[in-house]
Amino acid sequence: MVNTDLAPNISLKYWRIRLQYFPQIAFLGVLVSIVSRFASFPNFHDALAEIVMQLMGITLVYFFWIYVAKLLKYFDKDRLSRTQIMAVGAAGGLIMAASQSLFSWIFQVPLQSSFIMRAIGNVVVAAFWLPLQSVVVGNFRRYSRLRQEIRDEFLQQESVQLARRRALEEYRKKIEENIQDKMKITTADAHKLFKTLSAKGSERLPEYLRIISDEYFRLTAHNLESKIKVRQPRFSNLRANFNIFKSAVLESVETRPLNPTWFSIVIVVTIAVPLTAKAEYLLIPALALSTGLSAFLVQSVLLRVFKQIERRQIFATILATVGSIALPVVIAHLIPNNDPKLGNHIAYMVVVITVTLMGHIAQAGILKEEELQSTSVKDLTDYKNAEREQNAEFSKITRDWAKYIHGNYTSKLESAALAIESAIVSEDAEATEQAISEVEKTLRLDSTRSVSNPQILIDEVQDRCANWQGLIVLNINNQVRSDIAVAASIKDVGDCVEEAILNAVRHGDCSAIDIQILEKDTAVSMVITNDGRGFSNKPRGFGSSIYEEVTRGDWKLWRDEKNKSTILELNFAKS
Amino acid sequence: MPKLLIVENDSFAGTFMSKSLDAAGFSIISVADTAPIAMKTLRETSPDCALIDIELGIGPNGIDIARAFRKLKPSIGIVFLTSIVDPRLIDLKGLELPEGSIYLSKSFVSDTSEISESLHESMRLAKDKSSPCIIRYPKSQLQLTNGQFELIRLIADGLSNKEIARKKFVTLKSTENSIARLAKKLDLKDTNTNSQRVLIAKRYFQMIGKV
Repeated sequence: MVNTDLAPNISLKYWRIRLQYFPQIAFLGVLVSIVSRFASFPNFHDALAEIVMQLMGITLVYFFWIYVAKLLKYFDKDRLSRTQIMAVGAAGGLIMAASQSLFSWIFQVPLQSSFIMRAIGNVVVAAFWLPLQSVVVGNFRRYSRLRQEIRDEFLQQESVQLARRRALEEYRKKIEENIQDKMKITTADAHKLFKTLSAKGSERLPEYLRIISDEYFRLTAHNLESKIKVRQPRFSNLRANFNIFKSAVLESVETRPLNPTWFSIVIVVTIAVPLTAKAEYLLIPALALSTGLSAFLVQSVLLRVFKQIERRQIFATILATVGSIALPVVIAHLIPNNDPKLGNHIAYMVVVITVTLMGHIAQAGILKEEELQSTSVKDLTDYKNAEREQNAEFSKITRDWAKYIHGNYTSKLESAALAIESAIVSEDAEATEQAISEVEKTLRLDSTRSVSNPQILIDEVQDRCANWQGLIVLNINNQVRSDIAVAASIKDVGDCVEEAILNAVRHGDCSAIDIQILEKDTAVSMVITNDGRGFSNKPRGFGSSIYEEVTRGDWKLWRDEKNKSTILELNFAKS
Repeated sequence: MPKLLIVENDSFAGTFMSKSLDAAGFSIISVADTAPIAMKTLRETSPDCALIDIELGIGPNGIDIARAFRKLKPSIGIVFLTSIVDPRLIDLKGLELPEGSIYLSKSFVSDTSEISESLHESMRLAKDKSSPCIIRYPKSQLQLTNGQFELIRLIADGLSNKEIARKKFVTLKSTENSIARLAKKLDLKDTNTNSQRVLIAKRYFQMIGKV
C-alpha cells in the first residue's frame, strides 16, 4: 500500500536539504542592503568595507550552520525540532553580529548601529532563515523526488494489474491459436469454420471469449485483486503536503559543503576589496598567504596525527609555519607609513585561518559527497537491474496467469475441437453441425453463467442450492416478493447460504435442508433447518464470521432437540 | 468388467480418461460434470467404482460427492484424481477423506495403468471399512506445517491479514509473523508485503496444478 503519509519515511540519503544557495542569496541581500543605504555611507571605501564585513559575517554564519549540521550527523541525530532549528539559526545571527563588531574593529570602519540593535536584527532574520530557505529551495526538489518515489511504487502495484491484462490478451490469442492447432486444420479451414460459426449465430464469438475470460478473472483473481487495493496517492491532500513541508523544515540543517567556486570568490573579494579602502590593507594579501600556509601547517599536523602524511611533507609543513609567522612581519615593516595595530592583524589572521581551515574541511566534505553520489549511481544501477528482474518476474506471472486462465476453458474447446476434427475428416455434415453446436453450447452456457450478476435474492439462493441437489434434499420455501432488496450484496447473501449448506453437510452430516425465506418488518429472514447431528458447542469459524458480518450480528443458531434439527436464522436488513 | 463412473468437470480430461480406461477394461457409465448429475447417475446405474476429481467449481467438491456416494453405496471403490499435489492444500475441516479411498495426485500418475490399478485396489479396500484413505502424491520438498498449508490457502483465497486472523482466531500480529515465516520458508525474496502475497498465491496455484 502506498503510504501517503510521507513524512516519517524520508531517507536522508535522498532528501538532503541543501544550503548551497545561501551564499548567493546572502550576497545579493548584502548588495541590495548596501545599495539602498549607499547615500548614508561617508565614502565609497567605507561602503566597500561594509560589504566585506557583511560577507565575512555571512560566511562565518554559513560555516557555523554547516558544522552544526555535521556535528549532529556525527551524533546520529537526523532530525531537529522546529524550535531547535530556529535556535541554531538565531545563534548564527548572534555570531554574525559579533563578527561585524570584530571586523569593524579590525578595519577601523565605524558601524552604523549599536551591537544590541544589530544582534536583535540578525538573530530575528537568521532564526527564520533556515526554515525559510529550506521551504523555498529544498522542498521543490525533494517534493518532486518523493512524488517520483510514490509513482514508482504505484506503478509497481499497477504492474500486477498489468500482468492480468496481459494474461487476458494472451489467453484470447491462445484460444484462437488453439482452435487451429488442436483441430489440425489449415488457416483456410479455420476461416471456414469461423464462417460456419457465424452463420450458426456465433457472430458474438469474440464477445463470448471476452466474457469467458472476464468470468475467469472474476472467479480466480477477484479475491486477490480486491485485496490488493492500489490507493492513488492523493497529492491534493493538504495534510500530506503539509507533512512533506514540515519534514523538509525539520531536516533543513542537513547540508552540503560550500561550493568551492563560491568559496574562492568570497576569499578574493575579502582580499581585494579592502585594498581600495585603506593603505594598511596592502598587508592583507601577505597575511592571506601566510595564514594559508599556517592553515597548511595545522592541516599537516592533523594529518600526521592521523598517520596520513609522509615524513617529507612534514618538512614542507615546518617551512610553511616559519613563513606564515615571518612574512607578515617583514611585509608590515616594508610598507611606508604603515601603522597597523598588532592586535588587528592577529585577529584578522585568526579569522582567515578559521575560514581557510573550514574551507579545507568543507573540501573534504565535497569529496565525501561525490563518493555518496557515486554510491547513488551504483544504487541506481542496482535499482535498474532489480527493475529488469521484476519485469521478467511479472512477465512470468503474466504467462502463469495466462496458462491458468487458459487451461480450463481450453480443454473444453479442445474436446469440442476434436469432435469437429473427426467430423470434418469423416465428412459427416450432421456430426459437424452437432460439434459446432457443442462449441456454441459451451460458450453460451459459460457466458450465460458469467454474465449472470444476480440481483434477485431468490435466484441467488436457488443457484447456490442447485449445486447441492442430489447430495442432499433441498427445499426452498420462498414467501417474499422477487423484487425485495436487502442492504447486503446479493452475492454475500449467497455466500451465507453456501456456507450454511456446506457446514450442515460437512459438520452436521445432514441429509435434508429446508430453507424458508420470510419477510419481516425491517429484514428478510432466512431460516435454514437441517436434520444433521447438530453441534456440541456453538461453532466458531468462517461461517459465524460471515454470518456476523453480512447480517450485522442479527443471526442465531440453535438446536431443536424435539424435532432433531439444527436451525440457523439469518436476518438480512432491508435496504 | 467393472462399471466406472467418472466425475470430472473438465470435459477434455473426462473424455480422455473415459477413452483410456475403457481401453483398460472398464465399462464407462458416464462422465458427470456436476454433483447433481453424478448423484443421479449413481442412483440409476450403481457403478462399482468412481474416479473423482476434487476441484469441481462452486458448490460441493469431489470429497463431498465421494462421501455421498459411500452413503448410498458403501461398497463403491473411490479414487480421487486431482491436480492438487498435497491434500493439505484443501480445506478439509469436517471433510475426512472416505475410508478405503485412494488419493492420486496427477503429478504422481505417469500411466493410465496406475489409475486402473488404483481403481481395482479401491474396490477391494471398500470392503475393508477400517482402511484409511491411501494418499499417493509426490512428497512436497517444502517442509510446510499443516498450519502453513492452511495459511497459503487462505492467502490464495484472497483473505486479508485481518480476515485470516479472524478465521484462525489469532491476533493480527501473529498472522503477520506467520506470513513472514511462510514467505521465508518459501524463499520469497521480495520484501514488499503485497508482492509477497501475490507470489505466495502464485505458489499455491502451482501446488494445486493451476499454473
